[in-house]
Amino acid sequence: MNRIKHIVAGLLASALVLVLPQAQAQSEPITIDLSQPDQPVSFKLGMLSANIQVIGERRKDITLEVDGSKSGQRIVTPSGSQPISAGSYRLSVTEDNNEVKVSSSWNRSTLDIVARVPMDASLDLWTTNDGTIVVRDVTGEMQLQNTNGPITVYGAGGAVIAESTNEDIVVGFAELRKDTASSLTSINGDLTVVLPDQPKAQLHIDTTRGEIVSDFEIEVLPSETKVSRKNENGTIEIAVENLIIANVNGGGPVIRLKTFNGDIDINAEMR
Amino acid sequence: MRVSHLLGPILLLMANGASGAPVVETTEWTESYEVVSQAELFIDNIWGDVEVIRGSSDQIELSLRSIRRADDEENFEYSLEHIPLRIGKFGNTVAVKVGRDQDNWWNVRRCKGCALRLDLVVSVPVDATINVSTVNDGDVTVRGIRGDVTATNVNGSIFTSGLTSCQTIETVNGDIEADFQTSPANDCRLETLNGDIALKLSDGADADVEVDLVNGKIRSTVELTPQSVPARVEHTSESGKHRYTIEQSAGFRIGSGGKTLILKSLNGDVLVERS
Repeated sequence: MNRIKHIVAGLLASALVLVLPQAQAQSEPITIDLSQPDQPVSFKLGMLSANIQVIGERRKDITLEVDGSKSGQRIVTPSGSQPISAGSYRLSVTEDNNEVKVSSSWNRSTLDIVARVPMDASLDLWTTNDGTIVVRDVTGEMQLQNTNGPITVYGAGGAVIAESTNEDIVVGFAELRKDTASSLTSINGDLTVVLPDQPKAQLHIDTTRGEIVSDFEIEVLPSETKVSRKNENGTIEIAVENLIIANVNGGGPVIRLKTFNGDIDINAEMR
Repeated sequence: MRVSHLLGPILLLMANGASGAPVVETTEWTESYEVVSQAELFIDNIWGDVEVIRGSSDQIELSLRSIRRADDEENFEYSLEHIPLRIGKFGNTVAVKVGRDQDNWWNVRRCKGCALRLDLVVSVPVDATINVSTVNDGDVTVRGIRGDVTATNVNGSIFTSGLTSCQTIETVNGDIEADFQTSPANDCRLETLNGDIALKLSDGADADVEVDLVNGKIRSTVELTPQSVPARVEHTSESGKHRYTIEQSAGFRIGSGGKTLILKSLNGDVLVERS
């Protein structure tokens, strides 16, 4: 009998320690406080299908605005089918020693997510289907991956690694730091890099079927076809890379631009 | 006070009593416990059906049928220790539990061919608080109870009718039928992973509903008003690590609205109708 008492007592205790939900309006941003507000922050967001926008601001926390209203879910009633105003979604966010991770196990539809982060945050963002990635005014280094959608960056200040399989990539730099190297790669998309005033950069350009257009005078350096060979599990993989190496204003940080079926633009301003 | 008597003979089948022969023991009996107001029923079953119905105002009556089986006599004895059946009353609560409190599930699994199927029909005072569960090979049914109901299952369905108040009605692989006699008296969660949810409200009963479906559809035989539902934000922290869970559901109002029913299913549909 005592054991049975313990069962029930345990159940009651479990119920008491449940965290009560805190209701927030759908449009209200959710604030994620940082463990060390004055220290560098890392923001990671990965989702199968999402329109991700990250905006750098002078702030010491991170806010998230999420909109799931594109779910297209409907109720069928006697008077017909009608849409449900707010779709359903579930997100999980963790903050551990200034590393903030946002993930989702499943969602019915594409989410629109706007994250406001400290300007010097480092970013790691990915999505796969029906989504876009847009980053504004973030000066930290960033790693961006969108398999079937475009990537657009405004006002980058650090290293940018951007990869899209089937869509375009546009990266605008507000500054080019000497100790950084960036890379934009796509298979079927165009690549556009926008350089700041009086830029100094070294471009490593590789396009198989596209054309290259530049707003800047570039000095093409002699380069050799690069062949790499890798033995793995009894197979030999040989990669041939035919790079064009070009300096802008005498050279500077390396920006690698590689696409198979797309064009490459080197622009002086965002268009 | 416990009143116990055997309804039928204990049937013990042992094939020649030889080691290696399966052993099955079937027992049927009833028990009755006197209770005063605010009675509670707690059932933690593993295999079998659980049915709770309205009974007299001062008694909880249990009608039980247990089938204990094992691959041989040795395992049968082992099962008596590791899969016990315990029934008791403390205060105004009657509790039924299959299995030990803290036992490692491995201890149960190493018992070859062992199971204790328990089918219960329990009649309780109409205002009793109900907290019942089973896991395999059975459904949970609660009918005509006006007290607070919590019902869970894993591989089976849950059927409720005459509800006025619930906390959680939850299963994994099964349907849920929740039939409210009145407007729900408090917020309640109805959740299944692989099953449909049928929500019925009597004429004049009102509620707000949040629906979280992944692969299912919502159908209603009554007019509903879609409405915006606030996102839920749950914040927990442990050892300096903070976790936020943000959930947004689709929502609609039945009648003039009221307490919130949260309906969730991964692979099932939702049907809303008047009972």
